[in-house]
Amino acid sequence: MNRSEIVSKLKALIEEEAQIKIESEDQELDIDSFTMMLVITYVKEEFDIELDLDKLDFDIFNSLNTFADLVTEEASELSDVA
Amino acid sequence: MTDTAEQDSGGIRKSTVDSYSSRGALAYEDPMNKNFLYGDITVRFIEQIQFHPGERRILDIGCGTGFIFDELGDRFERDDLEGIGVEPAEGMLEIAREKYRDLPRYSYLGGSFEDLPLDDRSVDKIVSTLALHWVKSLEVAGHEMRRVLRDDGSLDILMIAREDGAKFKRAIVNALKKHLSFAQIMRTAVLVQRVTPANVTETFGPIFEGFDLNVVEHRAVVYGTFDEHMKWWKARSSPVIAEVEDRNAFMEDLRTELEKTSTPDGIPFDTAYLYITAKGAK
Repeated sequence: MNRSEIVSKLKALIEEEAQIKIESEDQELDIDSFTMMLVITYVKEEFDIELDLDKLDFDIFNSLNTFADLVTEEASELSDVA
Repeated sequence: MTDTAEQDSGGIRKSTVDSYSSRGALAYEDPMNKNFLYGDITVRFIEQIQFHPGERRILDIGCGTGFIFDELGDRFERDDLEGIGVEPAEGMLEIAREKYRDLPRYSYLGGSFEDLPLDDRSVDKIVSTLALHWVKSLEVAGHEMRRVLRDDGSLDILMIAREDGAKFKRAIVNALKKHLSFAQIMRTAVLVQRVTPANVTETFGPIFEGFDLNVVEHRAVVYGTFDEHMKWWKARSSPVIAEVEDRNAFMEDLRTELEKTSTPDGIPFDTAYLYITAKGAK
């Protein structure tokens, strides 16, 4: 699973759930906490990555890039362990 | 997506509803809570409920303190209907039973959407207001309602929709950020079902096969003062407030955030709710 694949899936999900159009990966995301929770749950189900809520902050949802960076990093750590 | 979100929050949701104490129930019974915002919306919904010929045994799920039967009492007397209220919160049930103790056409039972203490195909009509959003699983609730409803029965449900209070809640989250961690706020975000008409149709359509199912979303902006909004918001959000240590400071922060959204008409709350109706074939 590469970063562009992660970005593409996350973009589609957030656009659908938040009913917004994401023009660029650096665009500031304006999504509510419920949508954030949906995204976190989706990452667990789709990528098998369980994000630790206690280690996260609202800043990770600043943009698609910031969140994708985190997911990519977690995916990389998982593949290193495997 | 609805089902995925509920998986992480099942325990929270269960405790949320079950934990309504008598004190919480009394706040719920407050006229200000009944008359402002969703009180008006609930009354309008109840007034438009149609009873079909032959419907006599009426089930109100998540009946709270008996508000639907309070409103429909004259019709129940006139048409000799039987009312059964089901509610998981003991504090609410106590008030309902006390109000209706001398009226044998009404009974109140402990239970929930997902666990109805009734026989298969034993009720003619299901009604419910502002309760279905509390369920852990919309699908389980749908199957349980279908189990107890007769094949030619009907249902009328008023439910909070996904976009309910979307802007208002942003102000709340801004205030919460000063008092709760990201994790705590995320957990409160999934305390209730947040569904669109499409979510409901997709889930209930197969369960109520053979029924004429309709889901219609309504939206309206309701304006009020901070104190007016807090009356209903506190009653509805006690599990969130319970997480905050310094509640006085939180309420001040909340006032500041909500007043930033104020207009000449007051602080707006952008309501969004669903009318769900279904009628079985004869």
